[in-house]
Amino acid sequence: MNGLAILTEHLSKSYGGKHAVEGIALNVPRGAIYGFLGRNGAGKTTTVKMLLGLTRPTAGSAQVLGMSVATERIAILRRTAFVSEKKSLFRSLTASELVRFSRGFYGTWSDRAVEKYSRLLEIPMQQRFAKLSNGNQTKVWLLLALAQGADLLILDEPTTALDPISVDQVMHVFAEIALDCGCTIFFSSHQLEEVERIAEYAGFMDRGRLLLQSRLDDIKSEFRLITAAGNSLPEQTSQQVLSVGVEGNFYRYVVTKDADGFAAGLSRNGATVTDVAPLSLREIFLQLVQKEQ
Amino acid sequence: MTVEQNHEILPEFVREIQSSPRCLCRRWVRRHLYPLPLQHAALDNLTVWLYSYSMLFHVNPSSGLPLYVQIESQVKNAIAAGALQPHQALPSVRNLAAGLGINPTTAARAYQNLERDGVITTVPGGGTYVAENVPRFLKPEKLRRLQPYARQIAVEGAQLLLTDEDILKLVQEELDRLGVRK
Amino acid sequence: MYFWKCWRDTRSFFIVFVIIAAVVMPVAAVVCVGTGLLENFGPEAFRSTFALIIMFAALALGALCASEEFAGETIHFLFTKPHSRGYFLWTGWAVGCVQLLAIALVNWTAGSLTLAHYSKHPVHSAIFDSAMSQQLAGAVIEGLYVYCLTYALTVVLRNGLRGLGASMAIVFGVPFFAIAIRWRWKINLPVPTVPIASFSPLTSNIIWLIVALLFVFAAQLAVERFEI
Repeated sequence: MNGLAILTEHLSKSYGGKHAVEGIALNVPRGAIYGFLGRNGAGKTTTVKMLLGLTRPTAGSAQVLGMSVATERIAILRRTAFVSEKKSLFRSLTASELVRFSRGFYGTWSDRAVEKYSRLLEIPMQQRFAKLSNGNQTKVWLLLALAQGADLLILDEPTTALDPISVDQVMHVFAEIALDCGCTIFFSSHQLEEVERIAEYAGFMDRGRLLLQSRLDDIKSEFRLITAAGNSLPEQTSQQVLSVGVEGNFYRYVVTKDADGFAAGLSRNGATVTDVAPLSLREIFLQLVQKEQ
Repeated sequence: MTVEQNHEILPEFVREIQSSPRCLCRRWVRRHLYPLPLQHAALDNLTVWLYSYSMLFHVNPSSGLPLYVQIESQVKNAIAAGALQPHQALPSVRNLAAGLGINPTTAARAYQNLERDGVITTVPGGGTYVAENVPRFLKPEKLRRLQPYARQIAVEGAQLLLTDEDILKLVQEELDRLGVRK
Repeated sequence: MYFWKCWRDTRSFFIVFVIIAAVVMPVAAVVCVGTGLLENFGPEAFRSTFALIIMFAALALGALCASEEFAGETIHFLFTKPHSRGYFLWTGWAVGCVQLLAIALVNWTAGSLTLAHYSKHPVHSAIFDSAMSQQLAGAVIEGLYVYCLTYALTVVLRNGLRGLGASMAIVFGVPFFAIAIRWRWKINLPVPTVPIASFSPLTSNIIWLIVALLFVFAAQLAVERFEI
């Protein structure tokens, strides 16, 4: 039993000739909050489906909570909570009936958690699911996932339909459950501010491939934007230099590691380094994706 | 969680509010202190939510600085400005994380770094407090920490074509405003 | 828990059909009082309505039970519950099956009691003779067969309406197809629920039941391989 909640090796999925997911190697430590980032159509949902056994990979393997997805799917599902990208549930049931439905499947179900989170997230429990707004439908999914008492929560865009107040509430809830039960939260999102706030690890995915996977703090402390002025400075990208922008005498480098060393190197070559600034997650994400293109 | 269990920083008048009847308290607080809607439906954890809106901790996730660095610098700024006194209580890691909606590891890391630097002390099972004589940095270490900011001021000032005297005068004004004794 | 949910989905439909099944014969009897139609044609009328109600119920229940999940895209929710996919398939099937048999039972009871009440003949002769019982049993077997086929097709095609259409095409088309084959090539194809030549009616019914269950097994195999 390794210390990883999710471990994939060369996990791939292709539909016909199109590679939706190509050889990704996810490492999600237990107890961590992992933000899975990517554009629309990058392959995040397909990856999530493969982790849960909804779709079979064309190559590679995945281990969730130390168990192989191919052979122990049901044991994994017993300990994993899921929020789908498509937030549809049984239309004619109310939220409390859905709770009643889900409760029977899990031995670790907590009624206290249902009460607490339904109150906290302000979910109308007696309205039929079909009549709930998108945001409330998402909250019902979250409620069912949170009350399950799972070791791993896999959430596909859990905050997309929520208003900012609700997103904030959900972030507080995540922080709390990470503290209380030490469960792993693996969620994909477009909302980078939320990921920056709550996630400890981040994985960037684009066009089916995992571009970068690391602790968020390390990413933020390593990536730097270096502005320098000079003549004939290096213009090619490399492992260290993600992108170069040139305008006249001014150069902007996005550097992935050892920014100080790189800046020192530029200074040694006669350039004037005017700024070494950190980048927000949004800017890093854009740079990573642009580099791939 | 009760007030007694949390050695939170609270302005005096808020402590008075907490001892008054709950419903009055809620309405008063809502109307006067926090025009923004309080996010927690139950005001049982009034302390925690007030704390998250307190002027002490505010994190900007998209600023580019890691969150733990932001928290550390805010604690240090508060101490330097006199807003936090030695032996004053800080929120626990749990309350900080849950209150701000940030990853608990981030909060823990900030506190670990602060403790390593001697800025705060943790009593096992008792809470976190501002340290006795803070900071105990050696001068070169202090200067090293300040250097990036100095460079930033120098670079910006040069770009704006300010003279050295203007820049130094600006820094002096800021120091005077803080009231930091040399 | 899934039993309960399937029941909730089909509840209103089931109740409507039970009511229809319960009242059709008594109402017809009341309407025909004094005309002598009931005494002479009662059993035939009963047989026809019985078969018709069962057939409709079978088609509708087969399409309804399975389509809820796929039409509403709740399959992501269902198949991430810690149970095999086959469990959900067979549970849904069982609920519809029980409902179908309940409708048959209600109709049979209502019809038998009505005929017994209004018929000149003693109860046991007109209603419980072997020919009548055999035809009623045949209708039930046919209903089960149609139900299993519709259920399986709805699951495989992942759509209630398409499953219903395909099932009706097969159920109503195969007899004509068999007639054409017999006429052209003189081959007798076994037509569902018609007793197979050289087997006794009981054996034939059992064979058709097994065939019906095979449809559902095939659907289970398909579902286990589904990509969601």
